[in-house]
Amino acid sequence: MIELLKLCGFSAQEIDAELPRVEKAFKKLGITDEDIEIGKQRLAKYFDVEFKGVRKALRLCVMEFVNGVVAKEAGKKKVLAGFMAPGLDIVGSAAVSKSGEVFSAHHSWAFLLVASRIFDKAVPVLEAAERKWLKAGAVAHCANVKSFLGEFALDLVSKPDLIITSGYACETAPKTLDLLHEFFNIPLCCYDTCQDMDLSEDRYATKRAVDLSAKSIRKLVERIQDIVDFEITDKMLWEVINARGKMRIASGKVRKLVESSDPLPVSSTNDALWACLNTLTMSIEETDEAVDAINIFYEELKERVANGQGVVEKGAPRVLTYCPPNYPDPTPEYIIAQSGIAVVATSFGTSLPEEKLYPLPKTGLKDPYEAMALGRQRTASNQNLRQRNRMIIEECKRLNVDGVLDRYHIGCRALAGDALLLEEAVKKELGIPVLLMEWENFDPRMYKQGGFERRLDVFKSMMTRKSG
Amino acid sequence: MIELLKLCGFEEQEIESELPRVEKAFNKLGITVEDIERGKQRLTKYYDVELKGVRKALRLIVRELVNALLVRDEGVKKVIYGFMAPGFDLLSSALVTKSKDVCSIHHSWAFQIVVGCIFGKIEPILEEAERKWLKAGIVAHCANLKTLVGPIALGLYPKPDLLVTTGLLCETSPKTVDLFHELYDIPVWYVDACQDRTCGEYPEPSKRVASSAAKSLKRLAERIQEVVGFEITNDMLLEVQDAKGKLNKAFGRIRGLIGSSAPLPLNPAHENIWMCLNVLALSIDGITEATEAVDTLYEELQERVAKGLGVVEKEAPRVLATLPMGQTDPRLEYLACEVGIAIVATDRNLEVSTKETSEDPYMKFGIAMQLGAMHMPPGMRIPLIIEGCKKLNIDGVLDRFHVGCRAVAGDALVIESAIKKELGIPVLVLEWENFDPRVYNREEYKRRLEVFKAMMVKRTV
Repeated sequence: MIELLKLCGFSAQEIDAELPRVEKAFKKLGITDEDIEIGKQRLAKYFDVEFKGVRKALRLCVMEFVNGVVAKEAGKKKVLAGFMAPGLDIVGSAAVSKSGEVFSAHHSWAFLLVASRIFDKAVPVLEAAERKWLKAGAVAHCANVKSFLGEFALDLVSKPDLIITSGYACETAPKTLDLLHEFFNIPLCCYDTCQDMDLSEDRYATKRAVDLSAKSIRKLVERIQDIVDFEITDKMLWEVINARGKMRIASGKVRKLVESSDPLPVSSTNDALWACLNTLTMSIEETDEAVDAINIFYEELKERVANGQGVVEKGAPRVLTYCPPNYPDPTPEYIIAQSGIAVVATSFGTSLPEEKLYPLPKTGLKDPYEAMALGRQRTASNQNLRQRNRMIIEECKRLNVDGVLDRYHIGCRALAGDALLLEEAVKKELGIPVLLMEWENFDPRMYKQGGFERRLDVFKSMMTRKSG
Repeated sequence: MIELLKLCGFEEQEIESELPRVEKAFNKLGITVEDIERGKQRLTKYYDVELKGVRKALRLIVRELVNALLVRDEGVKKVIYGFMAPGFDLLSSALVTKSKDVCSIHHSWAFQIVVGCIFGKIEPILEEAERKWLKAGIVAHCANLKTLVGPIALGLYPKPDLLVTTGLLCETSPKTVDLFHELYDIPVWYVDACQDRTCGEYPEPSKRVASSAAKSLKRLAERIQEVVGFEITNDMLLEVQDAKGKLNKAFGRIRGLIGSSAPLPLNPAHENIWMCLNVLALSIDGITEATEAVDTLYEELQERVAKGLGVVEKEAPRVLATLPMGQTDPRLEYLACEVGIAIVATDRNLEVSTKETSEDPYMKFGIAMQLGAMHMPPGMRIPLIIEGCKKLNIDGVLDRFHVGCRAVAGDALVIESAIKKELGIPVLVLEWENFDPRVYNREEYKRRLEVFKAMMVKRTV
């Protein structure tokens, strides 16, 4: 266990202090000595744990997981759990920065990262959800939602005082949280905005959707204030937004370095770690630690780039992926790198510059709720099909990619519907190969090595032939 | 063709005048002589076409499809299409009653019955949609939507002047309609209401939901007025609501008779026809014809019940099915009868009653929309199903879930667990697609229905 925690960036002193809590949390998950061994092997294989920056980021995720499991036992008086709830990362961070008695978690990604990506133990959690109301089989409910339900079904996490979701990005999340409310008697808050954005050729954000979203998040904050019993001021929210802004800048530097380097300096197996870090509802102090981790990682990567080291050959075909990596299972990303394909970006990481949004005041935004709402609209994943395809095509041009791995998350029927249209648009506009692939972002059971490798080989040869 | 039209309730004189139009429409669908033969066989096998009421209802449905397919050829000026759009039928009926220059198509239900249930030819339509953006495979997008995308993509349905959907029931429909807007340049409109009803309010409808639905539907009416160029008055809507009220009473009598009779007097596959009639964009005259058809059938069924005739044995176990009957394929309901199971009702038709009412037609819609099981969250839908089971003295629940709808599929296990706990009767959880005949597996379904029947019989003996 101690070795594992060291691989996850815990210092000797910290291990002394935290070991009982970590053991308690791991025991609840059913982690055995054999699992610890497996975990160490997987950490060494799938994460670049020789990088201090990676270890520091892993530490924050493990701590989040442990805190989530033992929150109430550790004396947290109020627990908030959000799922598919953009904005809660900021509101929750403001709450935990103000009071040590509050714990807030967003998504189950820390859980997935530790329980599955490290220990390969997601399947029983997903199966527990399938014994409740979410289905495998032809319905194939999203495994992301299953991971959230499974945690409750198996009593792995502290029962929250409020569960929170939104209608922004997913329709199964509100339904599931409604059922959790009904059957587990957990208070629920859902916020939303309108989806029918009136977007023009050169504008990607709609003031109407932003205003409605801001109003709805404000109501969420009022509800949270009732629970935690203190006020969440605009000033507190701005402090978090600014702290997270530093994190975004640090992540941006890493992304730029990765996408501009040849050979690709780091495997995309690490991407889930950074994505997870981004969803955590850390206090401002912890956010600073996350910024520190990312900056250290950046310096380490720069050195690797300077030495000409990489995880694929120099000149390997460069690829943009539609959906992000599989969160609980690093194997597919690992195999992609083994196949000699360089994943340089995912469309979900694509974000719009300010000038592409609606005209903003020159003095900057004054309302933190508008800032939160606008932040969501900046990302490709929150755009409608036309705007998203335009963003992806622009990104492909900018990154000079050789192909698009058009993997679509089967758990989301809205998103899956776009895959064929994206393929068509990329082929028409850019004439580069597109590999269309059924994909489950959150279910390790979906991965079938033989077929996957074969398809990647064909995809690679198409890209090589074209550029050769 | 003539024989087929007779089976569908067309009179000699009408056949003479309508035949060229029907042939033109069927040609458009690619219906061959062999298809006509198969259609006749399927009509005779799956539907009680010896009953005049059934034939009259089928006639209205065939006529609706023919009208929709020929609408542009026949110079109709404005076409409005609604999909997964409760409330749209109300506005549609007012529109087509007022003007012959407007055609309104609601859902693909007539298309599904004629092309799917009668001719057994829906698969190429679904496949066409799958070549566009809706998927088969593990994603398994809802085949109902495929019957919207397929006909428009194939040019069978006219390009509408306005395409309407709602967020009231389905999330894939708004997404699909948005893509029609993007890719086919079709103007679109959405109706919506808040979804968060509190279970503590059960069985009363929420005023907040009603007023938000009413407000949104009113905005749709304003948009439609711009398209058609005339006003849709409250009086026009109240007149439609009045006519539809009579139709619903007629349905109620039939469902009451079926629910209280043993043996079951009619194959449950017919339920799909009534549901279709209820959503068609019929003029007030058309609604009156539909009411007459249903009343005729009621008389005929009464006679059948009086003679003790039925489609299963008198002692057959009585089952309540979840979700509507197969909408493109009558075989599962037919098979249930073959196995000897009497499906006496579906939860789709269960409703709570309320004293809440309004003089405003939009508010009336907002209230009525909340009374049925399909619009309820599970916390409300389940007590309604349990009350329905008790009232109908049900022996088991066919808890089939539509794989195309992840929201509704999520309720199946929860319903099973509640029924078993509250009523202790057998529940058959069945993976199913309401709109895709490709999922039908006779041997598997038969085996499972036989086990289900044995469990119910064992319990009651």
